Amino acid sequence: MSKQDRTQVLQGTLDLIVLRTLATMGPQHAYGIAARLQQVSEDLLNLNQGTLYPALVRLEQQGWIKGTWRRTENNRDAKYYAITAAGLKALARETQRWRRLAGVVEKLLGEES
Amino acid sequence: MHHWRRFFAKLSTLLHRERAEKEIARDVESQLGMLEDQLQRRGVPADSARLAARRAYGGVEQAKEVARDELTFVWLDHLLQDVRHAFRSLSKSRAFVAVTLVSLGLGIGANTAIFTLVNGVLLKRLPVPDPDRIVQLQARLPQFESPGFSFPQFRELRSQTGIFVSAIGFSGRPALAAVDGDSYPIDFELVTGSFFPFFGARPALGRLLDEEDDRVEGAHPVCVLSYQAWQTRFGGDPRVVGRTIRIDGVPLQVVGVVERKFIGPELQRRFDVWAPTALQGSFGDPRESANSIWLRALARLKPGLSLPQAGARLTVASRGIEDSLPRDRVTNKGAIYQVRDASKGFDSWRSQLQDPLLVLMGAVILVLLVACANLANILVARAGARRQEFAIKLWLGISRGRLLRQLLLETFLLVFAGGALGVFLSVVLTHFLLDLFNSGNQYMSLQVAPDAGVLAFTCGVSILTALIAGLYPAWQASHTDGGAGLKAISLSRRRAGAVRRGLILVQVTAAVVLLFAASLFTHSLGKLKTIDLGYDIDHVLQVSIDASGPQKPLKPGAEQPALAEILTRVRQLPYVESAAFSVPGVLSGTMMTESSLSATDASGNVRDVQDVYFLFAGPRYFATMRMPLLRGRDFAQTDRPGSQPVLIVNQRLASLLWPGEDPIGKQIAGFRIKDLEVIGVVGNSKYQDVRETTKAIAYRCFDQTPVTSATLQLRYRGSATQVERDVRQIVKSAAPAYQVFNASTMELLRDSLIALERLLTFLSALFGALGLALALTGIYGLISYSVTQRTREIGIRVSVGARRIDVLRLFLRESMMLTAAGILLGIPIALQLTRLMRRMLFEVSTADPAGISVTLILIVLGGALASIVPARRALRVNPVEALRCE
Repeated sequence: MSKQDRTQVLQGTLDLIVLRTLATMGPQHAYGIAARLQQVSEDLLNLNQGTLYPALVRLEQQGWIKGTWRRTENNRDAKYYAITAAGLKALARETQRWRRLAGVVEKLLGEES
Repeated sequence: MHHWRRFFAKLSTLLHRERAEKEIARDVESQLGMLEDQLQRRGVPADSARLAARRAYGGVEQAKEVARDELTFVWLDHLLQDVRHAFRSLSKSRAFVAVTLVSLGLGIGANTAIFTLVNGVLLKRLPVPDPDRIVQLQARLPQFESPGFSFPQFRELRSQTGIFVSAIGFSGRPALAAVDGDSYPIDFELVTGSFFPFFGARPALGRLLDEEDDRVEGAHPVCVLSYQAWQTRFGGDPRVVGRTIRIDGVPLQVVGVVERKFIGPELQRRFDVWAPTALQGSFGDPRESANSIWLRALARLKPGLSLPQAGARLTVASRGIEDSLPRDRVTNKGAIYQVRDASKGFDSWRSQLQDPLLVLMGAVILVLLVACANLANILVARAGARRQEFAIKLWLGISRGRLLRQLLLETFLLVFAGGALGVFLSVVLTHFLLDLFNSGNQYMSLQVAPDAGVLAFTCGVSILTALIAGLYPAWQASHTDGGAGLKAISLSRRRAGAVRRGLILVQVTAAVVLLFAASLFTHSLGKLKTIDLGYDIDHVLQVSIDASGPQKPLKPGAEQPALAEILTRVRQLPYVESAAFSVPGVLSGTMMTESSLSATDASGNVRDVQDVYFLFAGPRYFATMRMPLLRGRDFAQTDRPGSQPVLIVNQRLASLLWPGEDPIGKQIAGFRIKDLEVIGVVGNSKYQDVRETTKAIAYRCFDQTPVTSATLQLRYRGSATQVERDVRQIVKSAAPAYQVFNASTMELLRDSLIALERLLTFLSALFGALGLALALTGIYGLISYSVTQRTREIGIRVSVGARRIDVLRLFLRESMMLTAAGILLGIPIALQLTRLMRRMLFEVSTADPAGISVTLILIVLGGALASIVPARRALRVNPVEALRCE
């Protein structure tokens, strides 16, 4: 797969994706989230951990996710992020907004072609 | 809301920076570790797995930076860092900071002080609801416009309810207040009943005056104190209500104290005591007198009525008002009444101050411009010297924007510190200015204080200053070439040199303009001070004596033994050369005119002179004033009530009534007397103002005509205070029915008349000197920098045989070129600008050659001095060492 085909994460959607992932899979560490995203997108998303980390920091500060240090099966210290009640609410809100937006964009693109 | 949550989280990170930093390091470390594990599991060898993990992670330091930015307020964080940096950078160059602070402090201080005056006098509006509806009433008369009215006139104006909602009349005057046997001068104002309600004033204590107090003449001898007077004279004692104080001998009962913030109809004046106009009869003519013009008036327009509409209606109503006034009155006849905007309060001399204040404002802006150029100049030089520092910073990866911001921040810090110093200086300067203005002035006292508006102005000026001075140097510095900057860049240095010379040019030009304006004012003041007044004011004291009770004795001077006694005893004082009575004193602000004097000349023609100024003079008045008695005789003891009424005329009056004839023995009709005999002719002199043109003046005999007060003229030796004390003592013991109302030297009276010119001259000279000093500092700095830069060149020149004078000439030429260019640019600009000052100059042209010469001499000498001092350092350059250095 060539590099050009990989999609950059759209500004502002990363938070949504992370929230969705945590809602579906339960508490995950940063690596777990990144791996899951790569898997779901079938390597289409160009997302490394260096990009993901600031989003996690931001979400935690907003109180939408909460991180706790635990030991992994490999005996490493890792921060497991879990979605909070406020995060679930935000997720519902953001999902709706995204769907609306996507719908509009889709409609516009359809008219053009 | 999560926005708030985030805000506080960020704030907390700002305070616990280290904890956040540790957290980030731990997060990233753990994430890298897991990546490493994963890579190893996929078969990457352990020794290269660490590096591979970092690569896969995608910019570890960047991620940390972004995470850090997420955690806190990036801008605030950077700002704090930059502020710390700026402090550190500034603390390294103390001399630079000190020079800059002083010059900015002076520049901003001068601006703040003058703006305090502009704000207080020209900008502030009356603190009443809807001040735009407040108007000032005036009467347009055939010869002039008068802001004064008689009470009957005011009453008619007040009843124009189709135009005004309400109207107030007031009349301020200096007075003597006596409390518990202690007496002191106060500012006293008689006001109509609706005065306090008009301004929405509330009492701080007791009650204020009302319509009932002002209805019946003399019925309610009450007064209200100002908060200030209550505090200073009665120590804020609440028992003051009900007490009786004497104002000019009239007992008045205090009924209340007005609230602290109350000012009154004129924002720049303060009064101590107010009483109803119904008491006017106790202090002067009866209130109902149609001939006595003493009230000023403000009114509030009816809602919906515009100023021009109100003016038109009032013009129409003028006829009716005229008809309802007593027919036999002589003053303000045929007046057309007018209104003018008074949203800024009653204007007794605000409009007079407008032009001078704007000129001063212009001057201080120029001073600040010079200070600003000075700062810019130093900053450019500093930026040159710090080029290596900038290059290293840029090379280390700081963004140009951030560097620009850091440098601007340094400038802002400096300017705001200078501004703070300026505010402090301005308070001192304003205080000093008001003192100077008020103490040299008998007639008006100016009261202004800085407020929030002034502070906002100073902040604005500081920001502007910082931007003007700092933007170019910071921009230039931030565009240092990161690579080449470590070496010398001759091109940018040459450009910086041109900018520095340009700035010096601006400074010299501004200094030329300032100096020229100052020299014009100085020249004009000199002329005003040396005007021939017609008498000699040096060592003459004028003491006005007034009957102290409500009943004024209206008797001829000769029939008032107390006055005769005062005169005899004063003349016995060892250091009194000569003394005489008159009414009024010349230059004292009081005037008397007779509408017409007529006489028959030799050929039988009746000649008539209108509006003749006159005063009452006692024997030896002319000798005391050192006025030449040109013909005939002085008044004598034999001129008494009942004897032939006599008159002395001045040259001008004599030439108008009897051109080419000897007036002695001629008869004049006037002052309701048919056969006044002219016994003498004296030289022409000024009556009211030093600027007035030659007036026809008649001198009546003080001893023959009824007078209510008297002014003692004393020519003395030694100190005026000593004389004043002794005269007060004599009046107290010889004539207890009288009191000394006012005493001042004639020099002070003259100075009061030119107080504004004195203030303008003082300030313009101050600002001129400041502008010059700052511009010279600039030249000094430039040459001094240039000497340092060219040490090597000087070494070469000296070693190949250049003489000392050649080296000196090298630098003198540079400063002289700049000075010459500044003069060439400055003089035409100055000539244009000073045309705005035309009305403020007395007998001095706005293109005054003397002014131009003085300006040129000062600038050229100053410029030479400012460059010779640093250039002398070049002479001490040792050629061997100079060539070795660099």
